[in-house]
Order: sequence, then C-alpha cells, then structure tokens
Amino acid sequence: MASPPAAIAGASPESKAQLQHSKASPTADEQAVQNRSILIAIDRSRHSERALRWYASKIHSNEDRVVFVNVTEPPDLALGFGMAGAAVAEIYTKAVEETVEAAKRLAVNVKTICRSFGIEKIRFLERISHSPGQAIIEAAEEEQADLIILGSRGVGVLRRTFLGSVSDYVLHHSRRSAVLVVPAEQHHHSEAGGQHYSVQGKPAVEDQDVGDQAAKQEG
Amino acid sequence: FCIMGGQSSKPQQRVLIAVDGSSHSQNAFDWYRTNLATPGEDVILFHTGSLPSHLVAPTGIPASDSDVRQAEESLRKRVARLEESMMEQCKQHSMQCRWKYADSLSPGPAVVDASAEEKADLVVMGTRGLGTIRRTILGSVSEFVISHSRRPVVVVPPPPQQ
Repeated sequence: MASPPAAIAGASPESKAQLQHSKASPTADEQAVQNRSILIAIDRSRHSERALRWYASKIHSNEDRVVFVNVTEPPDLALGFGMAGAAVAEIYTKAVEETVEAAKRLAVNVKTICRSFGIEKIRFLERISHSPGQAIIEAAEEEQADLIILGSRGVGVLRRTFLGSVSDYVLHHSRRSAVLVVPAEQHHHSEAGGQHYSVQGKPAVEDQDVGDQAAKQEG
Repeated sequence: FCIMGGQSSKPQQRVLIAVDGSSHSQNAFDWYRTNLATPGEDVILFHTGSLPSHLVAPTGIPASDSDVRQAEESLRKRVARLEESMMEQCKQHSMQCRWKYADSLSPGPAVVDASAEEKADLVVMGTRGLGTIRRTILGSVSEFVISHSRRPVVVVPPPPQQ
C-alpha cells in the first residue's frame, strides 16, 4: 500500500529538486503519488480495453508499477469414454496451448496500446483458473496492489450496469481498492441484455476479440 | 507548471468522494489522498442526509413543530461539523475541495445523481467490509452505486485488521 506523505523520503534526487522548484504548495507536492502498484484485469473484451485506456489516460504516473493479469478458465473438453491416456493428454495439451496462444496475442495488443500512451514498463501475469475473480484477488495480494482496475460490461436496458461476474466477484471479495470503469454516458443503448451475462475469459460472440484483431493486423 | 511523476499532461480531474462521517468514508478519503490525489484536482465532498423518515413522510400522528425544528437543528449541526472537519483536512493537505450536501432519504441514488450532475470523472466510496472472511459486505449504498453509476467508481475496503 502506498504510505502517507512520509513517502517523500524515498524520492529520487531529481524529483526532490522538482518539488523544491514547484509552484504548487509544499503539502500538495507531498501527495504526488509514488511507486503505486497497479493491477489491471484484462481479457479479450472491449470492456477491459476500455479500463486499460482509462487508466492510461487519466490515472497513470510514470512511477507506477503496472501489472496486467489475464485469467482464462481451464478448457472444456469432450473426452471419449474409454480413450487411451495418451490421447487424453494430447487433447488437453492442445487446448491449453491454444489458450496460451490467445493470451500471447492479447499481450501483444495490450503492449501496443500501452506504448501509444508512453507506458513501456509493464508485466503480464497469465493464469488459468476456474475462478478468475479469485485469481485476480490472489494476484493483487502477490503484487500488493494499491489499485485493481476492472472493466464493467456496460449499461443495460433497466439502467443497471452489468458488472460481469468476474468484476462483481472482485469488488465483493477484494481487500484492496478496486475501480470499476464504466462506459461513457453516451452509450445508452443496451450493450448487455440479461442473457448476455458471460464470464470474462469466454467472451460472448458479440464482443470484439481484441487479441485476435492485433494478430490479424500483424499477420 | 511543474512536472510531477509524469502527470503534467493529464487533464485535471473532478473527483466526487462520498462522505458520511463514518470511519469507512474517512478511510476512503485517506486512501484517495495518498494514492490518487494530484495537485489541482477538483474534489467534491458529497454528503447526504435527511431528517428521520418519520418526520419527513406522512405518518398517522403528525410530528409537532418543535420536534421537526429540533431534528432540523440537530441535522444542520451534524452536517456542519462534518463539513468543517472534512474541509479542514482538505486545507491541511492543500486539496482543492468543495462541499456538496443534498437532502435525501436514499444515499445510493443521491450519490449517483450528484456524480452525474457534477460530471465527476471518478467517484470514491468506502465500504463497510463486515461479513465473513470470504465475502465483503459493501453496504447498500456502495452496492447501489456500483450497479448504477455512469461514472467510474473506486470502492475502498476498510484497512486490514492489524
């Protein structure tokens, strides 16, 4: 967790010099956020891309430690009854490899977006878990995140935002602060009807597959 | 204009912080101050309150004038004390704060409406954090706000027990 104004003691000589020459009042300078650990939950939907862009444009500071966590669920497989052990392993391995490849494409796209905002130092955590929400919370603990960034699925017909089950889980179980990035107010049309309540990591058909788009552009 | 941590190019934000005098909202304010606050940011401290509902809504027995006056006076005093305390903290930390109060029986909708009215870039709320080890109870106000807010919302849990 970021410490109170005493954090000024850890400031680099350059930033200390800047602070001394600052026109802002001394106390406000002490509040300059330093060394925050930021965890951004990312999946292939446009909702988490929106959350990333929001962080990058409104919140980001060059001293932030930015970590992305991408959680996908273990692959669902149809295994033939009585299949030989080797065949089972092969099918499972292939499914995991595909998941990993999709995650790599997503990472490439995320890197591109970050670079466009001048954010170069980022890390990725790739997780496979039955409970993406729980995995995000664990990642937040590992990283001692000062803030978790979550996308929301948008505004529904009944003027309720749809959190998505992962963001909902994180908001209800996190011991660390989390921000829910909702879409801009212009989008009053229904992005998510009641039945469109898919789990992040398995984007619903209508969601743009951001990760694959990047692959197509590079292809 | 000084450059601090690469934030000089960011447009100044308007942040609405829900305050209710509880330790949770104080914790949310402190968290905002140490983790997000940047100089020049426009901070709105939003508080909502009302007379006790039996004095506001019609009931079988009409409240006496003196009861209502007393309740109004005590509400006014309580709100003034909270305003003074919060604005003093802002002053100590050179934050650009503005107090906003709205009469409302429903704090959740009041926060959503206020943040829309002010076109807040961010809403900051504390939560109750009670409940089992596994699940945090956000409280009815936070629950409402995260389900209905049209602006980004930060939910600040209480600090871990030492």
